[in-house]
Amino acid sequence: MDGQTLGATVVGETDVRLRREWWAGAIATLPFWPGTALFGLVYAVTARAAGLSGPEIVGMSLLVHAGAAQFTAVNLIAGGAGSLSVIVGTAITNARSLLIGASVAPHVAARPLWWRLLYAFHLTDESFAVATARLLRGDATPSYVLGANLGMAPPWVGSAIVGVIVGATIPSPARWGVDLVIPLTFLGLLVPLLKNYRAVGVALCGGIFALLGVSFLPGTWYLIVAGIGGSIIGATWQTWEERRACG
Amino acid sequence: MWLTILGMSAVSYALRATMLVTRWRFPPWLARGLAYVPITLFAALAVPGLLRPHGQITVGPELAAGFVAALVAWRTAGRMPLVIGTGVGTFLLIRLLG
Repeated sequence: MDGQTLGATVVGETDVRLRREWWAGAIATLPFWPGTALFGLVYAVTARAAGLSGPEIVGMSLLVHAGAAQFTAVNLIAGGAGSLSVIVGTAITNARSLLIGASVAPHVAARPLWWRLLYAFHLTDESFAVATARLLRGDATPSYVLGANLGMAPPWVGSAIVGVIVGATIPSPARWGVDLVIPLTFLGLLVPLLKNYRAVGVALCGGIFALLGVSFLPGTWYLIVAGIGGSIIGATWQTWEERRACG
Repeated sequence: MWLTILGMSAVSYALRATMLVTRWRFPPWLARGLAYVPITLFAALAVPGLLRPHGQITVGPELAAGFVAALVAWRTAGRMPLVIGTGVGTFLLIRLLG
């Protein structure tokens, strides 16, 4: 009888602790909410201008849940790209998810497969950034990182819904420079990454490859050429500099 | 369009889950290359819309908007409302005056 009571108490306490950790993870994403909501709003308005319907716009936010990839898709759809091109564009834009997955993998390796499959679904740059602080400190619980994941869903999906409603009230969006919003968004994402001259060099190569690719290649090929070409140049450049510094 | 969205979802999910559910670890050269993907890709997605907005290379209001937005992004560490606001503002202003 005593043992049973004790057992029940321990389980109860663990449940409360798990829930508290989950909420702590979700709340830790709050600083990202305003930026994410604005990004989602802009996404929905530009997607509407590109001809997507309301349910498609919100559905994409819910099912794909990746800002840069969704902007890339809208950009390609607006340019008349086919289904395969858009999916390939998504793959290239989200290739960095492999890196994020690799960083988190050791910390969630002990969790059951179903949990890891669930966790992967809404894993984003932002929830990873939130989890990293605790992962580095060594006290990140699986509930915490899962909470951080799901904490990013309300601002992203919610702002898409608001954007669809607001977007419907904007007459002829192209007149107001909406076409420019996507390139400007990517510029805003790019500039903070330019932390050294090598990064600037890689960005210049990416831009030149893209211009050449857009002029001479069909569909999404310009993204493939720029994505692979630029990263080979960056990695080779870095390796070469490190070798020279050592030798 | 829904087929495209489901395809995008599947691809994104596969990329997120691969490292979490397999024992595969990529070789150092691949990890090094992947780290440069956002830089080269964001440049590739920004440049054509600013420098080649109507199918040929044009030095016009779009490029000026990009220049102003890049400066703002640099000074504000990429604060999106300011970057987009000043960029679109520059574009509309030039169009209004020109």
